[in-house]
Amino acid sequence: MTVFLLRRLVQAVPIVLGIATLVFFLLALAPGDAVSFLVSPNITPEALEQIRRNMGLDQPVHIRYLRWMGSMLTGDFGISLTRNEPVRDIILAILPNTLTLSLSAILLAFAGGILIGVFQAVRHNRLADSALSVIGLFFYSMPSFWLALMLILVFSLGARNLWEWPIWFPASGMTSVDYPFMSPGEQIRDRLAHLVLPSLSLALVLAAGIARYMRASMLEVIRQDYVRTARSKGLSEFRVIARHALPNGLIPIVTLLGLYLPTFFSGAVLIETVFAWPGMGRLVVDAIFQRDYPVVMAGTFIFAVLVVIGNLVADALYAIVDPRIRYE
Amino acid sequence: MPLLEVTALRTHFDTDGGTARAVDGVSFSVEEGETVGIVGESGCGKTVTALSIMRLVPEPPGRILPGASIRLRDRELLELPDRAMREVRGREVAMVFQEPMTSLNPVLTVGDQIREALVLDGRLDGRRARRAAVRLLGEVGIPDPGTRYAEYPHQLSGGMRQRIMIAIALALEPGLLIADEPTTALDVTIQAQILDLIAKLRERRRMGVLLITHDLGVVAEVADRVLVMYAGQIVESGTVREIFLSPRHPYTRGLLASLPRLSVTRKRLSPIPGYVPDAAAWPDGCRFRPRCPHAWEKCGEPPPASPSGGRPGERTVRCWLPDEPERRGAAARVATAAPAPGGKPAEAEEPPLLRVRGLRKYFPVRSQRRGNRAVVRAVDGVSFEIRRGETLGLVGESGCGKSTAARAILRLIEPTEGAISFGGDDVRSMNGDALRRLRRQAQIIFQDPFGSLNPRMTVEDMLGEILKVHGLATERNTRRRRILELLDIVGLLPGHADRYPHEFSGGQRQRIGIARALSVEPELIICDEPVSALDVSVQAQVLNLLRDLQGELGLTYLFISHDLAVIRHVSDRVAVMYLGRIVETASVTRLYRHARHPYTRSLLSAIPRTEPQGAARAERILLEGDIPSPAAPPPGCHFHPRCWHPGRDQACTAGIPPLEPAGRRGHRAACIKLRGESGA
Repeated sequence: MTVFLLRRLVQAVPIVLGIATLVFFLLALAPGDAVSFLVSPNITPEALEQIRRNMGLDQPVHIRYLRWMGSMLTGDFGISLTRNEPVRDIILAILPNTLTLSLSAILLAFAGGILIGVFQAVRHNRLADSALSVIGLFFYSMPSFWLALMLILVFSLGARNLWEWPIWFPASGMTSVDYPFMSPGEQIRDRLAHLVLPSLSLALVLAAGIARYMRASMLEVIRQDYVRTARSKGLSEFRVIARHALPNGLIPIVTLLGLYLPTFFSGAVLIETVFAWPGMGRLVVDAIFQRDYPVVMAGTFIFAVLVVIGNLVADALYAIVDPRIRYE
Repeated sequence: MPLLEVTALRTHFDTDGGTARAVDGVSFSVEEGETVGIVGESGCGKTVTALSIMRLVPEPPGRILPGASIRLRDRELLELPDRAMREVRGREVAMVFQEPMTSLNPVLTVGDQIREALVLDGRLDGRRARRAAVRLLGEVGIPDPGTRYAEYPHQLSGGMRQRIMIAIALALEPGLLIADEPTTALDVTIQAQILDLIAKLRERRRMGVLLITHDLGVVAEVADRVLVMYAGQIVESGTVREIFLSPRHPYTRGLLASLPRLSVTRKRLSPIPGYVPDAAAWPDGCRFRPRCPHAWEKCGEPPPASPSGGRPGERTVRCWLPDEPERRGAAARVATAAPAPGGKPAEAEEPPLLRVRGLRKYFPVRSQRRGNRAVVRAVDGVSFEIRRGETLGLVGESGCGKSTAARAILRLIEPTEGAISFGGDDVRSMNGDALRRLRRQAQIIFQDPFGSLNPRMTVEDMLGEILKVHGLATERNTRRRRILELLDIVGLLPGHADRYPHEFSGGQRQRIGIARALSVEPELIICDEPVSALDVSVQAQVLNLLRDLQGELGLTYLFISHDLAVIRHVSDRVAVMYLGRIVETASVTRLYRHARHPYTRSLLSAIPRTEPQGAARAERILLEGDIPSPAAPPPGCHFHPRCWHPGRDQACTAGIPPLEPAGRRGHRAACIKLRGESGA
């Protein structure tokens, strides 16, 4: 088990370095550079050349590449061109926001999807199963940004202004305006309330997909001989499903975790914009428009590393749910 | 009061093709301490009967029709609420399933799966249940039970897994054990161990056993009474002696006549014609009528079922024949058919068609723990030859390397070492055209008639492709004509040419496989377990076909099988393999009468006989343990750790025993302890 994970960890190193290389060359070869966007059109070509030299942009590509790799390995992503702060500090401040949103969405999507899928499989071909399938298809085929707008309309604007529901959820930001004046308990509640709509709009679409997979996987498992064996022992139906069928049904779902991770991060870019959530997605999108290359490169790199880490976690989960892989 | 009493059981399934009457009016009983066997071909309703007793038939699509009764001692199982029925399962009735490979949960340790059954009735807490589980593991003959407890099913062999299944079933000491084909997936020596185990436990616990199997030998060996099922009904019942020594229903007789026997060599089998019909469309009247050689007018009406069904001391036959003495006599005569001419081995002087010398095939395996490259010696120095027109039987248990050897001979996999000559040509130096020519002259028929046919090609596409590749019939019309001719040879109809594989039964698919092999007019056909996936009556049809073809076309066969009775039936000479080596080879009569090698002798003794308590039964030699892994075979004679020979000693581990003469007419055996003994 430990050997298995260590091997995967070692395999991840060249992948991460490869990603860094790819990110660098994609942006280095793209037309235009930071300076051309940064400065006023009235500047003399000599001054422009001076700025380029100061920023090291006059060096040949391979030298810039080696420099960038070297500083990146020490954790230095350079200085943001627009904010004049170290990129590392900016990212360290913002990354937790994105992780909070993505992780809670992942948790919601998988917990919800798995539960619904199992329930549907147990009620195979009955009314509840068919109804959930239709509802699932509805969410599955919906773009998440549109779902986000609808959720805002119903559970934020409509709930507060039209119908005056006692419960409504805030539609933008991570905290309310009066957050600093709240007691610690209220602060936690306030943060959770702000998390609800963005993570739901991310999670619902994916939960619908996961539920479909889980239902199919469980239907396959329930037909297996060992489930019949479990029944023939005289176990309760709950135990047959929970202890014998579910762990086997989960095995293909673990693959989905690895597959869906990029979707969560790229989905976060849109959702963060809709909900004015100060996260990595918005940071990177803004940086692209402003040609803030150090931030774009660092952000892209961080996303890629997150996906690699996520796949490592998926591999570890694989080994946990399936002993046949553990002893391979 | 009987332990189990089933009355008028009808279990039907609602399918797209209509109502499948899988079990259709079955009545029988099982007493305490008694073993009742249910036999019949697949699709006759045996398993559904068992699942109905456990109330494990999936509903829908299945349903048990009202009017049925299943009484366990004094309780009516069909009226119990679900909760009470769950308490019956495992505690009073337990079941062992056919496939030990898929019947255990792959993600739970075997110990946990046993313990789970043990704690159900609440008498044992976790720790004591663990101890009890370890004890059970020991009781079903698992070596080192303490360590095995924490292992997962995929780490155990098939025989071990079946023992685990039995341990689970016996955990709460049920009064009735239902065993559904408990040994079908296992090798004969392991099958003997499992049957022995069930018999011992039955005696010790006075358990009733309902044994379901298609293997008549197994039933003859262990059952007290037998129920013969056909098309969802019991067609005959009686004691083992009655059924096997004086079968009365034509179906029972047909089954027995289909069986290759150990005592008879190379006689044409008399299979039941046709196949079991679909459960959604049983024939009217007597359901066996379309396949019955003695059907007459009266068979259009359903024959009377004995009202009480199979009770102890009762003999029932669901047939109109026994009422008609003169017809009965006619039926009895048909049971033995005239022997047909077999393949004639050519003169011994002629050079052999195939000669294999010192064939080796090693597979590298990556062992993670040590990092050194281990090697599986799947085939480890095999030599034999086959003369033109002869059949060589290659027999051995699973994993002994027989199939690997066959594939290496045709270079479907590249041999590691050894010399192969086919018709005088060196096979190992062939390439390109020569190799293609070889594969035309030597064909192979595979075991699995389901997996070895492309599901998206019609029969005509498949056969046509081969004809085209080998340039045998390039023109469309001649190709079509040749395909129809081939179908005719293997007993299929012209209309079958346009069908896809899933439209055929197992036996028909195997016929397609044979047609495919014949299409290129080969000299040698390697038959790799061609009948082991088939029911006895269909098996007999295919064996007869292979024999007839040999006679008509002068074919040479290398016939690979684990089934000693089948090997005896088809072979002229036999080679016995164990762990990659041939341990004994002789003519078929010598091998079965005067086997010398201890392994061959235990193999022969392990086969269940279909002549119950008849001729004096040779002492059964039960082998201990499993076949060792070919990655780490025991040193010297591979068989010595399981050997029962009294002379076994240190010398056996010293070196590989050579294949030495052990009797007349080319009888050879690889055992150093035979040197002093007289070869009869």
